[in-house]
Amino acid sequence: MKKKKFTIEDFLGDKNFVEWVKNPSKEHDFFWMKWMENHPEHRPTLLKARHILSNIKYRELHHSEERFNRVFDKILMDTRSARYPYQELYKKDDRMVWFRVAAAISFLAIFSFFLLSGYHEKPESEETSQITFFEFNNPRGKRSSFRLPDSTYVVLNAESSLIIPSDFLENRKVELFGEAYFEVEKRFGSNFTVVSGELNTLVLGTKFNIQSYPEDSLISIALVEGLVDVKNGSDTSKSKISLEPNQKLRYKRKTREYRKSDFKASDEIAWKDGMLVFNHSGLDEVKSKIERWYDVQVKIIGRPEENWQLTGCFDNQNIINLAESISFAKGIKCQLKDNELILKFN
Amino acid sequence: MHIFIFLPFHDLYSLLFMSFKKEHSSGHNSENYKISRLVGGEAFYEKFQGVSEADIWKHFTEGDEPAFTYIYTKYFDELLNYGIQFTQEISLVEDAIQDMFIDLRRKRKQLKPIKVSLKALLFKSLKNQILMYYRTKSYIREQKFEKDEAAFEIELPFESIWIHQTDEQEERIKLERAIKKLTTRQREVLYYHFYKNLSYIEIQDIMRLENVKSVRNLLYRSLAALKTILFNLPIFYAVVKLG
Repeated sequence: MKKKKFTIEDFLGDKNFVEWVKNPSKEHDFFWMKWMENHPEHRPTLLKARHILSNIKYRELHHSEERFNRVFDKILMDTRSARYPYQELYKKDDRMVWFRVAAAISFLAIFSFFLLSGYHEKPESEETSQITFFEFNNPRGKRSSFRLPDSTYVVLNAESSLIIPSDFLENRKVELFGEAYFEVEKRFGSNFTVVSGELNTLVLGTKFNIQSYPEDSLISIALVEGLVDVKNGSDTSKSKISLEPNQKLRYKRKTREYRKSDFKASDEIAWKDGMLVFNHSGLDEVKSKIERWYDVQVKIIGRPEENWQLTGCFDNQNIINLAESISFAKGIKCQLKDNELILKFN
Repeated sequence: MHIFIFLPFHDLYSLLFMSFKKEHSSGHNSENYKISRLVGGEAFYEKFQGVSEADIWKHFTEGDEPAFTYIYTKYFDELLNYGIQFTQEISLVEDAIQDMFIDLRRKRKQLKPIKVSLKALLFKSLKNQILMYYRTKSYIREQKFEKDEAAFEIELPFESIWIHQTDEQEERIKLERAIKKLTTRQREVLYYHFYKNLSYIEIQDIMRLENVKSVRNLLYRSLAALKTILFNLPIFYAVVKLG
């Protein structure tokens, strides 16, 4: 590259640069890290440009299935919105509309049939059909969301898996390892159960979050809306604990102790919208959260002062921004090398 | 969802699970998911994989319904997010998307091939539709949009680490006031460049600018203005100095 004086605008005007800051990826990271190494004199300008860009946001809406379907149906029905300022030029032929609807429906049917036939391998005659299980599995660094056949909405966190039986619609019972957020659809007379370790959470129709990583000593169940009952699966008595909205249950695996407390929904379930939240988090928590979230190894050098805590919220930030913010706020050195984030305390 | 109506066999749920699975790992977009969200999703996706948008558009103009579904599915979220830059009223944007697609579908036979890109075409149509609502309401005119402070509003998130610092409130107000010094057109061009990854030609098309050079000028003037505004703010300066 030519020797040239780069200004902040040069970076901000560069498509590649914008792409890197907005949608970070390994390849982009690699390219720009190398670039900074080769042009140390431009590093400050580049960092300034990145800081500006990563702090600018426009209004944003998250995906809504309902909206998507509503507008789609209206378009297929070929009816203008009430806002449309002009008179319709021609009168619609009603038969024509029904023809279109019929065409759309048969089209859907044909496609579904087409898909079905490919997957329809098991003979139907099996009376005592075997229950099989499906597993959703996320490695570190990956989150996903999906709907179950009863249209329950699930957001599954990194390093977590959710297991669903094939007879799910008769028996809505799923098993969770790790963390997930659920929005359960209400169905008359049918419970939805989440098994996490020895705890069973029974719900009718609610929104809640369960965190139960096998290697963690705690299981935490936080209720956003509705009502849930929590039972200990290994406990044969019928005792159960009910949670109300904005209440959270923390269960210690070792001592089998329960504790109920209030929580802030914004902290507890922000992860499902891509926000990494630390709320007076100790070093161990910070370490394991970062490792899961970004799929990196966190290495700690030196010792932090006692009562070291981190508070902050990272909204869809890449790990470089995170490292920079932490080092700025806490006055420590952060270094990113390959798959390792090194935190250096003095 | 329509799909459940047609799937009465319960050993097929694996299929449902899979086709509704959405991935949003590390900031990548979820196009696969969006395409497969509709009935027969996988089949759609395969049908149009590797097909250029110009060809998909051609299919659409020839009356191919899957092509329409594909376009709608792929761009709905993006159009909605684009529309709310003009107004906070989400129902208005929904109506605009509805009327815009109905328009395109009714006159699909007369539509010309894509000149710039499908995205630019859809953005332009939606912008026209929204401004058309404005025009017919006598109290908001198109010229007024150019001075509309709420259009393409930039939000500065303080959610990062310094949220708990003491003078946050005061700094935030200063910053918000400062950022309003950018004109609507400047904010608009920054939106296309930062958020939509649009090329100069696409921006020229949507903003009805004379040529690519004027897009570039507008963009760089906006970038310079943005920089000046932000660097006059002490909090920003303090943070940036670290680099």
